[in-house]
Amino acid sequence: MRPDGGAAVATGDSWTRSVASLRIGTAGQPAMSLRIAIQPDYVVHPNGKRQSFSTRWAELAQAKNIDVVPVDVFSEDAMACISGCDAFMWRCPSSSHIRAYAKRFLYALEAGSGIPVFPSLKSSWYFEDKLAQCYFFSAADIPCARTYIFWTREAAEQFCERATYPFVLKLAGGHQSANVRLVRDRREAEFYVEELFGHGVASLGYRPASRLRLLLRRLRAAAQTLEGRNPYVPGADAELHYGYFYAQEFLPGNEFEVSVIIVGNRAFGVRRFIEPGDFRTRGSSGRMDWSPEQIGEDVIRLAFHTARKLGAQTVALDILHRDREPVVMELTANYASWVVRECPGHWVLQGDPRSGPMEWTEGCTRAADAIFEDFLDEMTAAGAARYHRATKRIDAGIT
Amino acid sequence: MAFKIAIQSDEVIHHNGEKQSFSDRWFQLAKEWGVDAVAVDVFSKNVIAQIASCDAFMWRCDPSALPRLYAKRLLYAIEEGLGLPVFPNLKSSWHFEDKIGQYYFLSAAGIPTPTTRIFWKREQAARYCEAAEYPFVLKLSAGYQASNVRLVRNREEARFYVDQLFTHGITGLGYRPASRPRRLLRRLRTVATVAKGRHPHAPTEQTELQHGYFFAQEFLPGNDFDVRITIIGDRAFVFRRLNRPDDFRASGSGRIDWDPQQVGEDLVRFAFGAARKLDAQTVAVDILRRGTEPVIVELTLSYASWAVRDCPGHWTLYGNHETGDLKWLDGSMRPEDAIFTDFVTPLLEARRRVDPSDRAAIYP
Repeated sequence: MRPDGGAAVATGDSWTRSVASLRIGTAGQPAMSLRIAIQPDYVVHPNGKRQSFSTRWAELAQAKNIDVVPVDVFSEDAMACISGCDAFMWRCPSSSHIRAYAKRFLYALEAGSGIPVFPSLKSSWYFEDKLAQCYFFSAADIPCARTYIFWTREAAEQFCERATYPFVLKLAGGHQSANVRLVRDRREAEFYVEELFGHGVASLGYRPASRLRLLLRRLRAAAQTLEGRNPYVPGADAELHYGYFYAQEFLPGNEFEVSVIIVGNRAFGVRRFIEPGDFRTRGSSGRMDWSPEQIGEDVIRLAFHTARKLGAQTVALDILHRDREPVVMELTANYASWVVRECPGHWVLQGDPRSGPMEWTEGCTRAADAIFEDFLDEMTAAGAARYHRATKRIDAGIT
Repeated sequence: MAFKIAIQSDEVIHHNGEKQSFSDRWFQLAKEWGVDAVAVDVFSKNVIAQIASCDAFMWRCDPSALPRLYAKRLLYAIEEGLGLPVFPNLKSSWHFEDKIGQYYFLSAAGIPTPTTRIFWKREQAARYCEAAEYPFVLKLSAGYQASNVRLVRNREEARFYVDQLFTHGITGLGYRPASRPRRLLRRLRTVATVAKGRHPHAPTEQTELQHGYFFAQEFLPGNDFDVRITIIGDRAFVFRRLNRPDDFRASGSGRIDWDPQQVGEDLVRFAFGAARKLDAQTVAVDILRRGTEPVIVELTLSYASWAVRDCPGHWTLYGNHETGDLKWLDGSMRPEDAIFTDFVTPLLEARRRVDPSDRAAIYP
């Protein structure tokens, strides 16, 4: 018996349509057999905005007559619970501990079960990993700030001797401008080399200090050790960084960075202003401007090009300018949804990011809605492919 | 234009004195095949430009922490960003030295494993230890040759490791529970090291800091050996690894039995099934038995080449792993050769289809 109940087996496009009609139903509503596992998420941003992708996804799924299976990824039966579903969605927070888990869990699920997963590996492998992002930009020939990554202390020390100051020192992980420092001189640079190739750091909070202060820091660390703690082991929100040195050119003259959020073929743009007296923005907590006319088309096309290269379902890109050329600084997988919702409209790209027509669509769109709409297409396509494989196995006599 | 493969050199001398270099052999093979092999230095500044001028990239990366953490990023950037074929590709390397990722994969794929419990919260781990059946096997996510694998015999020992893993973290399972004076001595030693500006649990090039999880696996008694099946494409190389004397671990014991008669065809098909599900270019699968049922304990990417080379022959699978023909082929084969053949052959064939006169596309 065929898995979906004896529908006639067709081939190619006609078959895909027949499965789609089976799944979606004649009234455009999917049959109850579609089940989507969703891990709840809930965040209150520093500005008080509440965010829950999962709540919205559950509403959207119910409106489409899709069964929603709430999952607790930390429960022991999480994998078994998901394995009975057609897809899985999780808007995972960026805190280090959960991320370390989520990356493994999501990819294992994608590779092991073969069901569509949000975020997919292509949308999440660079998550909170500026080192991986830098290698990707370089390999994909995406304009980015000049970056030097060193994996040995000697190479990092040599760089510090000859570097042009100031430069920007970054840790691989760390969101909302944390773990990014403007290094102004060699002494400071050597301090961080020592930290990163010594015990490692959870953040760039400490700065070079007098000998006395350094001694005090050490004694404090020793006291914590006496209590049985490791002063260098981060809490759940951070991770230990060590064994690399990531230096990036400082790009002066940028009053703002452009954050472009790509979801499928849609682009949402916002300018985030650099804080006075700083070289960083305050993430989504600082001054922002959503006027689309202030964002150049070249910036949007660069963002689309990068997202296409990644093959990501969604990604947010931070873009600065080196002189007049836009350069990608960072990729983010878990942007704040309210920033997207505040956009007065979005660009829609048809075809090639560099030359395809791009149209402005007025009106507010929720990121969760756009993601879900695209994901539903993925689910339908995957369901069709699975059905195809199952019928082939039956035809081949494999049970 | 000649077909060019960028190769990163690698060299390891194993405990038994066997010298291993996949890259040395790949350079030799490239010459025989009429392919240009370009030596690259992955730690040089312009590594991506060096690789970008080639048609493919190969790196048999060391399992120690820093090179591995770097390699995972670089390899994927080359594969996705440059769009070049790489060895190992993502599907072969994402689980590299990550037992947690491996377990979730096997579980999602419905592949039998020993019963495994992974806890991400201290309270859950502590609760588990109160009610657990002893002994159980405690593992760190990374760590090869049976290092970072311990048989936990009682609650006291389990609590000790929970404490270690959810407080300061550890780079290895070297320490065991000790008497109070000994523990105090350890702590004082640690304090002294920290006061000097270092930390005894600081990660090194070889080892990374492990903390914030507890990975417990059922102990499977009655297994005096494990079966290692190394899959390279459609080939399976099989041998048994006998446990270390008075130990429950076989990995790294060096006590190997290459007799293919000792490994059933069902196990070979089982290993092929896991490798096919991963869609890996190569993977070594370690198999134990729970009663009569085979279970996969671990996946390895950076296996030792000599143990594979010394197999008296290998199995070749034709078609589906459940129903396809499985044929035994006598004679030793180096894994370097099998990997190179699988990696380069389709690339050369594709090139020859585009330009049949291309001299570089003539291979043995």
